[in-house]
Formats: sequence, C-alpha cells, structure tokens
Amino acid sequence: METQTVHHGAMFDTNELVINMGPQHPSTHGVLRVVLRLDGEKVVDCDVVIGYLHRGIEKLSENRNWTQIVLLTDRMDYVAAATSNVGYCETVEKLLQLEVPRRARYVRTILCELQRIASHCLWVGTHAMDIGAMTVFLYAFRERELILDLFEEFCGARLTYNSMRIGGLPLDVPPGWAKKVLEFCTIMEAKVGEYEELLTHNRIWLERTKGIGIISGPEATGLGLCGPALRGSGVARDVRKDEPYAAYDEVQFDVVIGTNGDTYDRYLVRMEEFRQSLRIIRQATEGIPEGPIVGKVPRLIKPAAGETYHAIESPKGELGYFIVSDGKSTNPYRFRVRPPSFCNLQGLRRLVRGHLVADVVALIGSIDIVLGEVDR
Amino acid sequence: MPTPLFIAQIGLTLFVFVMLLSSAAGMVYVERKVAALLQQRIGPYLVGPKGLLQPLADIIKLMFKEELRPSAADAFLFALAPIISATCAFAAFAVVPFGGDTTLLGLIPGGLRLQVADVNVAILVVFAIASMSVYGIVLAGWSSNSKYSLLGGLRSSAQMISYELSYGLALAGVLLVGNSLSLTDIVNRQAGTWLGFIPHWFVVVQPIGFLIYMTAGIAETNRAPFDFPEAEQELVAGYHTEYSSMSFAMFFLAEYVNMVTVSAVATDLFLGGWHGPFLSESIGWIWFLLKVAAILFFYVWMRWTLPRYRYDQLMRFGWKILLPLAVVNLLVTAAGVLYFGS
Repeated sequence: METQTVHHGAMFDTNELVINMGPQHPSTHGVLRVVLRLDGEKVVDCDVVIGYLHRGIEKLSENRNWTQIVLLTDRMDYVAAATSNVGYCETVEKLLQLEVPRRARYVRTILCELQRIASHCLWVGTHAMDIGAMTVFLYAFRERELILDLFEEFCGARLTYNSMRIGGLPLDVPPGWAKKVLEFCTIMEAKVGEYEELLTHNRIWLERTKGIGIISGPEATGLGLCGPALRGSGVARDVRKDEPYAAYDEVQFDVVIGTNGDTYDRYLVRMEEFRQSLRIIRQATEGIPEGPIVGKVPRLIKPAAGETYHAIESPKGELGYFIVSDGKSTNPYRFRVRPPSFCNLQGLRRLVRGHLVADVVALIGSIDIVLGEVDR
Repeated sequence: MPTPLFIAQIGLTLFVFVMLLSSAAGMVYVERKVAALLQQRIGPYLVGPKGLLQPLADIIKLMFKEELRPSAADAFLFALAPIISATCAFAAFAVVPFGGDTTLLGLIPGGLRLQVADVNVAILVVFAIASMSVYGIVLAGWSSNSKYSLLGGLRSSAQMISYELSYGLALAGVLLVGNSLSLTDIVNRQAGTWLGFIPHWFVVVQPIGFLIYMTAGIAETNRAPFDFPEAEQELVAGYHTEYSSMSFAMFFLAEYVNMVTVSAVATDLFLGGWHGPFLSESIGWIWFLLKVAAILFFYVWMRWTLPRYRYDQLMRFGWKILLPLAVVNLLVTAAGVLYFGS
C-alpha cells in the first residue's frame, strides 16, 4: 500500500504511518494481518491480509469420501465445530434426499445452540479483553468449560468433535445428559447476567463501543455481512427462522436485532442471543422425542450427479456449503464453503475507516472472526 | 566522628530504597494473586510457599534474558530512558514521610523522622519529579524507532498534559487547607478528630480533591483503565515493546514504585498519614502501611475490573470534566479557608 503525504498547511507536511497489525499481534484473534494507514492514530485506510491459516480444506475434501469430510469441517470454525458438522451433514442429506429421524434433529438443535453459547462465550471474553476488561475473559471461559464437559460426555472430544454422521448421529446421548443440559441452562442464565453487569452499563464500555463502526442495514446487506454483525444493523435475517433446518421450526425463539448498527448493538445482539439459545435448548431438551438416531443411510454414500447449496446459522452468521457430486465417485467433485467469518471480515475495511487504532481491535472483536474458517 | 543520627539517616535512606524495591516485588505478587482471586483462579503457587518467591524467580529470569536493541534505535537515549523512569520513581519517594518521630529504642536522643529528606516544598518536589518521569516513557517510545513504541510515547505525552493540570489543582486544594507545602506539616495538621469520632483527615474536607487526585494518579502511573502508553491489545506493549531483560525490568519496577509513591502521597495528603486511632505516634507507620495497602489494592482491583478508556476520551475527560471540577474545588476551598480560617 502506498503512503501519501498529508497536507496540514504550509508549515508541516507529515507522512502517513503504515503499521502492520499482525500476524503477530495480541488481538488479531489468530493469524490475521491488517495493514493500517494511520494519520496520527486515526485510521485512513486499511488492508486485510488473510491466508496465514490456509490448509486447503476445500481441495482436501475432494479427495476424501463423504464421511471423512465431517472431520475436516471440524477444523474450520474450531470454536464451533459441531455447527460446521451439522451444516455439512445436512447438505449431504439434502443431496441424498435423506430423511433424518426427529430425535437426531432435536439433538442437533441442542448441540448447535450449546455451540452457539460456547462460541459467544469465547467472543464476549476476547472482545472484552480487546477493550481492556480482562476478567470477563476468564468468567466466560469458566462457563465455556461446562459446555465442553457436556460435549465430552456426548462424543468424547472437547474441541474438534466429529460429532455428526450423514443421516443422523454417531451415537445416542448418554443417559442423564438431558438433565445436565437443563442444569447448565440454569447456571448460564445467571452468568449471562454477570457478564452484562460487568459490561452493559459500564460507562467506559459504553464510550468505547457506542457509535464505533456504525453501518446501516442496507449497507451491511450490500457488503454481505451476516449473523449478529448484520442483525446489529437491524436486519432480521436469521437462517434458523427464514429457512429452518434441524428442529428449529418446532421451537419458539425470537430473532434479536439492533437499531444503530454500532459495536454496542452487535454486542447487545449477541448477549440477547445467549438467552434465546438457552430458550431453544430448554424447549428442545424437554421435547426430545424417542426413536432412532440414524436414518436409512446407504452403505456406500454416492449421491447422484447434481449440486446443492445449504446454509445454516452458525454463531458467526450464515454458514453455507455448496457441493457438487459427479455421481460416479465416492467423493465430492467440488466442495465449497461460504464461511461467515470471511464474509464479515470484508466489512472490516469499511468499518474501521476514520476510527482510531484502539477502535480497530474493538471492531475486529465486534465482527467475531475465526481465522480457521476465513482461510480454511 | 559520625553521630548516631547521621548513621541512622544513612541507614534510613538505604532502608527506604530496599523497601521500595521489595514493595515493587511484593506488589507484583499481590497483583497476580488479587487478579487470580478476582478471576477465580489460583495464581502463582509453585515457586516457594504459596508462590511467594515468584517475583524473585521473575527477576532472575529477566536478568538472564538477552538484552536486545533494535539496530535503528538511538543507542544513547534507548539506554537512558529506563534509567530516567526508574530514577524518577525512586527519587519522588525521598520527600515522602511515612511515620512520626522515633527514637529507635532510645538510641537517638533527638528522635528521627521517618523520612529521607524533610523538604519544605515536598509537594512541589513530588509533583516535579512525577512530571519528569514521563520523559522516560516518551524517550523510550521515540528512541526505539519502532512504530508501536512511538505511538505509545505519543500517547503518554498527550495523556500527561490532560491530567497534570487537574492533578496539580487537586493538590493546591490540600495546600490551602493544610496551609503548608511540607508533607510533614500537612500530615501533622490531620491529627485528632472532629466531634470525637470523625478523623481529622483532609479527605473529609476535600472529597472532590481526593477523587481527582486518585483518578489522575491512575493516569500518572499508567495503570488500567488509563494504561494507554502500553495498551497491550492495541500497541502490543507500547513504549517498551522493544525493551528486554533488565531495561524492561526497570520500566516494570518504575511502574510499581510509582504506584507506591502515588499511594503514599495520597495517604499523606488526604488520609492522615500515620495518624489513626488506637496506635501511638511512634508506631503510626503501621497505619501508614495499612492505608497505602488499601489504596494499592484499589488500584489492582480497578485494573482487573474495568475496560480501557481511549486516549482521546481521557483527554476529553481530563479537560472537560476533571479540570473544571478541580478549579471549582479550588475556588470553593479558597473561599472556605478565607471564611472559616484554616
């Protein structure tokens, strides 16, 4: 990026300062590099450089059979691995036109929402830490730990779960698990209030987040933002409501939207989503039906030639899979992911312009990216 | 022939120096333990009983680290900056009294004041040295020839001009009430009580001054929520990004010693110094330590609870809220002193 001379009058000509923020920087949430052009501390422009965590997951998938790919999807959004699993499995099920048993769909809903809470916990912790509130981070991780325990009990893993199979679940939920989930809901309800007590009405927090990175609804839609980053601008777009998957059409919940589209509203949206997720988990856990956990899956998964796109609402936004099958081989012909973090990240340049260096970290936190998903 | 008083004075000077050093080490430990307590962790526990030797381990680790200097750095200023910071931090404490007269078990007939130097303009000395310590940070930021360091140094100077004025005005209020520039005189004026139970502390007559002093004190010591020059999440480590080994340790030390100094001055000015109920003046330093510890705990508590301000917001806060408030406080105090007498 070229620097320009800024004319401040006849006496002084000053140069813009170019700063490489990342890939080694405490608050770029992984390996993101943002090249900032600064006038003093004001950001004139920025360039987002990605690719430091590229592992070629899309290409790899074209050489794996359909079941093996589930494991690769874990590695994309590694703080919400189960959501990626569900998204992928549902896409293949759509391609195969496979019926998934109701019990499996309910468990998927519970897992997805638990995962949303875990992901938002990580987000609220790191976002608050970027703005300097250290303690929220450990509080949020304490609750995330409870969710990881629930996942460990369900599938044995704590980060990359490989928790889904095409057509249903790999195994049924262990006995007593549902009760533990409900107990967790009670604990979490109180803890969300604790986070909010530390932040929501904190004067410093308000000053640091209100009016920072304002983006209007139409502009956010135009940039392709999704998830809470879009809903914070007042656009009520939520795949769970608009194109229900799993058991979302059988549970009651509200789509939370903001009004101003600033960092504070995106924060409020996610905080309220904690509560909505708990609401969904409670309904799904109480209404979990009896029955099989896997549908009629052919022994050899080999979808007929064709293509399909299916999206789900991951904690970060619309996570879509586009899969092409040539009908001949046992692996996809083309595997493409629409990762919400990637789409949200391209809004960063628009958001940070004119703000200060201190706000850049707040804004990176506010769009909630996971670099594993951006680079794949 | 050195008199016992002279030897005691030398001893006291050494004692204060060593105590400041170990109070900084102690503060590191306390900070980590209190942070752990607030965050529901355990904190250091491996090195020594309950992790008490952790600061020592940290120091040893820092001593054995390689001393690095960026090739583009200004070598002289780069080496000078941490020295300025550390020197200023220690120097300011020289005029701070921390206890009443003591005869040291009858060894010194005339009595020894627990203070390195009784300067009759002590407040001005503290204020002057505190302002100088900013040079350490600004020079460190500039001489490193690194972008993050530069931003940290610039923030520090911007921050200084926005809190120093209100800091000074808050002190002026106490000067009017105490009618002296000597910290010892000011402390001695705070002895006794009103109505038998309200301690004669200046915080009672100068509550706004105390709040302004404490707020500016946080900015002065670069502690969260005003730790902009080293804002980790924004500037990596700010002005000391390029420092390593002992030169980094000196900045670290300076920060903690500054905290102790600011707390000690606050105790002398507003909280009655070594005066307190139950204890006689000869062991009044126990009260002094307790009060300083309370303020230090408050600092640590703030740091681990609050988010960080933005430096332009601190400037706005300093100029638009703190300064007018300090001016009003000073005027009201002056009027009060004129009307009631001091």
